[in-house]
Amino acid sequence: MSCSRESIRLCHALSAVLCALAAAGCGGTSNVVLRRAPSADPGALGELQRCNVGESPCGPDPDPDTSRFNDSHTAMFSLPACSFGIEQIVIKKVGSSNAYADVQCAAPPQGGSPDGGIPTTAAGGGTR
Amino acid sequence: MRPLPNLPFTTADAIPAWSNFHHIIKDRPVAAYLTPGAKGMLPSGVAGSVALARELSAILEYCMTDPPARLCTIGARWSLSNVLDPKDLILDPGAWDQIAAIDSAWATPDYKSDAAARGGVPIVVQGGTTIRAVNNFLGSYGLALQTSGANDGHRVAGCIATGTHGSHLKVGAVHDTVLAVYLVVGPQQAVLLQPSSRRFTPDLAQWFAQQTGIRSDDVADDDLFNAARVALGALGFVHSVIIEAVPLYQLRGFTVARSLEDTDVWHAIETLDTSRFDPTPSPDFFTVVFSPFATGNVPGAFATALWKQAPSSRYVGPLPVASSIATDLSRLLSSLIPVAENALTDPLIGDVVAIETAKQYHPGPVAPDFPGSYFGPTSLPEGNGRSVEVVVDHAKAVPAVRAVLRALAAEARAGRCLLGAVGVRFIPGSSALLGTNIHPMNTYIEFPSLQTSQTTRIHQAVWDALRAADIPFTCHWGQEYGMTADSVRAYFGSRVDRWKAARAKLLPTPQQRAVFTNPLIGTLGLDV
Repeated sequence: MSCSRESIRLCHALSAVLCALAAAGCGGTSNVVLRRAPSADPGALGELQRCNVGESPCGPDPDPDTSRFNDSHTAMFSLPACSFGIEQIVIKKVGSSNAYADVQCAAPPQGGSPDGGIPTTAAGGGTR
Repeated sequence: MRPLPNLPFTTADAIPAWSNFHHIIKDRPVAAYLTPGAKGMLPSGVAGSVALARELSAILEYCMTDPPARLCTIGARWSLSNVLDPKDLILDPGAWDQIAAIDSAWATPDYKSDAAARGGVPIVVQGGTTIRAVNNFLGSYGLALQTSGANDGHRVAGCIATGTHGSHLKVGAVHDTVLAVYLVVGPQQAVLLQPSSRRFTPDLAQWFAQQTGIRSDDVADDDLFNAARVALGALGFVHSVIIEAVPLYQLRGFTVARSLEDTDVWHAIETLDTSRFDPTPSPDFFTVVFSPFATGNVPGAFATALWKQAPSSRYVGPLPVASSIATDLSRLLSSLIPVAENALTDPLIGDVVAIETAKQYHPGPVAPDFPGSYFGPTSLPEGNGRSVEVVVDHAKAVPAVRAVLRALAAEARAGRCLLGAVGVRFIPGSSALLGTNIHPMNTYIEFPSLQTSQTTRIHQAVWDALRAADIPFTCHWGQEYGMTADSVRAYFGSRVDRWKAARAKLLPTPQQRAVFTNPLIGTLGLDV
């Protein structure tokens, strides 16, 4: 079966942001939190993942402390509710008072017509 | 609480104070909030689905071990009734979010013949999927849901379990677009329910068995299927539903703003004939929103009619907050929050509510819009809302709406002003046993509002007014309600016994029934 998983896309996007921060040489001077709009229904919160520079796969973070998302000297950004997840994010002017984030939403899954690419149940389980 | 079993892919968090979205259920201590799929990395493909089902079976086995533990499976937490009042255990089904079309070879010839006229395409949707995800998935493949609620944040299982209905004059409620339901009723026990006039060959049940690793009985039984379509969270875990999608469409139409007593509006409510506003016959969707305290030149009735049409542009999903105010009363409530916070004196509140309501509803054409956008995201923040929706036979629509408006006006005169508006919608009848649309045509009168110290008393006054007018009513299962066990039995008649018999058949052991229950069905005499 098939369905886009926004969290995975966001994870990739966050990796890109961390890369950008590291490349800018500003790690440690301030934090950046990218999150859903506070007014959005968060639903259940999932587990924490740690993503490292180099676009290696993110993995579970054993530290359950979520206070890290509310540290002082943190720039907070509300992400748009992209219909098909987020493709990539760049944060510009990091560390300055006029920092901003550019967000590119992901494109809809390609398919076209019901007779074409729509995932369909397959004998034996799963989809084709 | 007994120690939980080993659940390799499930987080279990103690939550000291859990609340539902509107905080009608507030600060409940939950010993274990279970989120399958949130721990570790599920295998991909079928192995992942089987692993998820194994987690579910382990949870159910734990719950059904004496003494049994009630399991509250939540959706989007939007329900305002006590259907989601938890005890020790909450199950978050968000990982069940997969969608796929069903192999057309698995549809029966009779169903194919029936569905052809409307271009129906059966889609399997897992219960934790949000309506927004379904809209976006279907839209990207040139398909759409036939109807939905006014917003898109529901999860599919919760949406149908409480009878979410929308305003489609021809289709009915969301549960009327359900072709089959796949329920997990115990550890390693599942059943695919479909009507006796089968829609699907046994291939589909076999596919579910392969997809879950759970023995899956293929049952074609009208009463079991019609019970499961509005299950109230009490017939098992809704793993998946098969919904009939249709070719993608857009909605276009109009909104008119008239006075509270406008004869054209009342004629349309009585006859569902909107030709006095627009000569185009037979709208697909029709809604009237009343601003109950409007006076003078302030409009008090906003009627919206919509027709489906072929798309004039490529599908795009909704903007973050872009649903139409014509159907999204929650946006009005958001606009009223400052009114409440400013604590205006009572005599002024009615005027302010009327003015704010008029600001939200703009008369004129409704541009072509995809259903997922028109019935899109809500802007209502968490924790402020209250709402009741009464349902009556459409034959009683005019006296019922008038009784509601009179009761609200009387309450306002007594200094108890509803901080909200009144939405009136209409849908045809259903064979779902506890679908609230039991009459050939049904009228839904919703009065959502912000929470004040007077709201409960206002609700009671409206229910009293309907009883005094001798108008039988029931209420939306997912909203605050004024029914009793006796009134439910009086409204639904033998459907109550058939639903309870179906429950006993699907959940034959006391342990199963103790796990899949909730205070709503207990209060209303359905848990026997």
